[in-house]
Amino acid sequence: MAYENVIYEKEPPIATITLNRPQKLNAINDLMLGEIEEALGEAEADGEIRYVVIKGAGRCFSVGQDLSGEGTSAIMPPDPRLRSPLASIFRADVRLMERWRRIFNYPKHTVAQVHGYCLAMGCDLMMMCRTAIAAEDAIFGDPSLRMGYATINPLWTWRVGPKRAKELLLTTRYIDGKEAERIGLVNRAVPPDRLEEEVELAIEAIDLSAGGIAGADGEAPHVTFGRAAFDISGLSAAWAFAAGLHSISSVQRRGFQPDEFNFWETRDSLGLKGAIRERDAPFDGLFPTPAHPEGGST
Amino acid sequence: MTTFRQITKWVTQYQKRQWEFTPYEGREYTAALYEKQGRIARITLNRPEKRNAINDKMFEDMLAGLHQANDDPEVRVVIIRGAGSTFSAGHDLSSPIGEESPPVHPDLTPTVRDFYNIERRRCNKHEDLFNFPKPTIAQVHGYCIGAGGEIQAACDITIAAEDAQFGVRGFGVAPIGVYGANLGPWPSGSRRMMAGNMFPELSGKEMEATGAINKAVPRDKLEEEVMKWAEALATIPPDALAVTKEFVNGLLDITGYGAHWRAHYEGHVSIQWVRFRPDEVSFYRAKKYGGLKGFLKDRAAHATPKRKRGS
Amino acid sequence: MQYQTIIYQQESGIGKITLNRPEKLNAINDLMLEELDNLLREKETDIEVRVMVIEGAGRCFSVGQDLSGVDTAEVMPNRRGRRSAKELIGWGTRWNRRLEYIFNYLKPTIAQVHGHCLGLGCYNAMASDITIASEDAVFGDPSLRMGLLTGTPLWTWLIGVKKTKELLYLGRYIDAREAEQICLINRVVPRDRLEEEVDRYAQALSLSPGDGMVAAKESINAQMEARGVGSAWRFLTEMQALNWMQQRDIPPGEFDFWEAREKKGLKEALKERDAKVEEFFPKPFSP
Repeated sequence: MAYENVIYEKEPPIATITLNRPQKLNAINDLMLGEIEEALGEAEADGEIRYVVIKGAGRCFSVGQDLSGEGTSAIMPPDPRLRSPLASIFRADVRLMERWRRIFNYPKHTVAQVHGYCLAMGCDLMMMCRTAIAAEDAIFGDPSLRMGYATINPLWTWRVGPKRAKELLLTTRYIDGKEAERIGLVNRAVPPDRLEEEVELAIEAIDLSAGGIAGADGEAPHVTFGRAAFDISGLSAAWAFAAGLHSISSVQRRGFQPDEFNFWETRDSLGLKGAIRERDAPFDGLFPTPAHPEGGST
Repeated sequence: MTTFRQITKWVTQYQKRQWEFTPYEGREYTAALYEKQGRIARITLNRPEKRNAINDKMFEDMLAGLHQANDDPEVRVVIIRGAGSTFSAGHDLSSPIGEESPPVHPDLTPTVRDFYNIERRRCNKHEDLFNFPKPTIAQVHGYCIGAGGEIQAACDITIAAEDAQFGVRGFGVAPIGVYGANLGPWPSGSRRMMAGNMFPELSGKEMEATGAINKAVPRDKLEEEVMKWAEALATIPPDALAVTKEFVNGLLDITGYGAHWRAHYEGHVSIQWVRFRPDEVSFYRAKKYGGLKGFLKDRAAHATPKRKRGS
Repeated sequence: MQYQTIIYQQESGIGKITLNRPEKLNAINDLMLEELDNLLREKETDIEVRVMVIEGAGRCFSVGQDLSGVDTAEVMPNRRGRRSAKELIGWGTRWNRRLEYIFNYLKPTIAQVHGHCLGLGCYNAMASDITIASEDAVFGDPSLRMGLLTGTPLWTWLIGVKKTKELLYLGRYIDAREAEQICLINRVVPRDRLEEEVDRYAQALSLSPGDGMVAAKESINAQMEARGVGSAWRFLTEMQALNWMQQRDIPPGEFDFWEAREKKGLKEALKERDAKVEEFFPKPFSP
């Protein structure tokens, strides 16, 4: 199948999905998320494939959802100034939540290979993967709250515990790959020039212990109960909460105080780049964003 | 053809805790030893020639030891450790066909009901150790693999030698690192624990860093460190400690720990239907043609190299 | 409002509560408990307050419940008397409600910890969203050394089961570095940079739109609720009642805090309480 915003390659037993909008730092839009799902579907149906690697083309994994407002009606809530009814926002969020949930419950082993920025929805995508390996200088974080959005991803307290989850989500602080490894957000952080190789080695290691010895069939109960572990400890309910609270935060009708940053107004007057710069400036003064390995900014 | 039912005497034992079923009076402790020093009881897994691989007698002796420690009002703390070079290498895969410890042999054509019976019993054994009313310490050195890891995880405190090797090795069933989760810190979905999934063997030092065990010390300091903890625990008011243990274990049940163990053992059941491709190492097939040694050799050829990590 | 045991200051949207009984190492007595309750309730609906910071005056954050027995009927009741189930459940419910209230407080909260942070002081730090400590901080819960159950269920969610048992069973104290490593707290900084670091976090928390902040915090707490924390508060209430009943007849030979305090005074009773464990696990250090 031909894809526009991702590249799908296969070299059994591994399929690779490369997020491919490098000029936009792989910002995720409707088309890209849809194509990620299609590519995952293709890999799922392919009997030769047991592992799916997700990575980004160009300078980073992904800066998150595309904030340009174009081609993002499925993955971004509508401009709050349109005063869409809560019901429609909520229904859209539940649909979106179900899509993320399917990626989380994907039956084959997904591996996120992370370099450069891995922010917001990009970070969500990484967290849905069963294994994540990052370059030491990769940059993680979720700045959505700076625009007033709560996250739609309920995995945070499972991955890093309540204290760290609150620290990262509420202060919207960015951390580098090394710290991400230390707090359990990724499995391993490796020197950037060894990233590709380390991902291959990790898959080989997983394959030898899980595939080669247990048999490919052994993977089924392994995955079933591995995923069930999350639901047993409450993840199903947490998905529902997350979708609901994301919609509540998306309405933003009365809540904006005059002194609070308003992303949409700013985007109208300064354009996307200007709005993002304005959004990040006060935070960067407090918590400087770790240097991007190749320089430049979001 | 022999069937599962003919060869086994297994019965469900849900009414009591498993150790309550295991009498200790007049018992000859062999596969696991029981001794008492003042307020501290020690259970020593004692098949050093088999790296303390667990067979039915060992589990029975261990349960009897727990029973005895429970009944003795003087005992405040129980230590579980291994004799010889290793804590425990897990289930004894060379056990006779009717034993409970290795995976149920397919030649016995067991039914699903038979499987549930045996797996519930296994599950209960570990849960009963987990909920044992007195505090327990696992003293881990050498290998702590498979079921040995579960014994360790079910203890309240684990102190290990820095060079101990924790992990799971598949043997025709999937490594349990993920859905067992018993090896990792719980409750958690943290990838710190999942590292164990990727690299099946973690040293004591690495386990300490994940938070899955309490402390790693140099091997020659292990005994001393464990005794320190045991003696400190022995000074704590025992009744209040029992309540605290019940409370903390209850918190885990609130997060679904009980259901999780169950899922683990149901995983075992479903794994009985795994079919192996020609290039995969099947325990039964390899054992049939090459014996246990042949299987271990085959598996070693497949096993993860210990140090593939670049750094 | 005038407070005796706490100080409240507010500057550019950041509220700061200082526990202020420095001569008693900020031990929490009934008055402080009440004043905290009142202040938090008053400020929760104040839209000007965007972040709430809590710290301790003097040498430490807080050594926990005031164990002196003076003005502590609520925070540390003498457990020797017979009490009805209704009373016990009522007390436990109030106890847990207070911590749950801090946990679910409508503003993001930061605990700024230096020196001792023990018992109820530690529970408060655990219930706040972010804990930042200086290198000289010491965390722990010595309740079990005197036969008492811990006062918060958050332990296992924060630090996992093995570490929970280690800290509770032995009443072990850990220093800030270890606390950070096991995720009991977020960050450790040198003593002279503590205030500055907390301020940095507080400012970052105050920048995001306030409505979004409420939803975002609620979203994370909802995850915790889904993971069972709600049931856990209740379970604690019940176990506390059971633990309370245990105090009626402490077996001969066991350490009896209430009797020791009566006979030898608080200082000696505490010394006796800690001596046995500290023989094996000395305190990290006394700031």
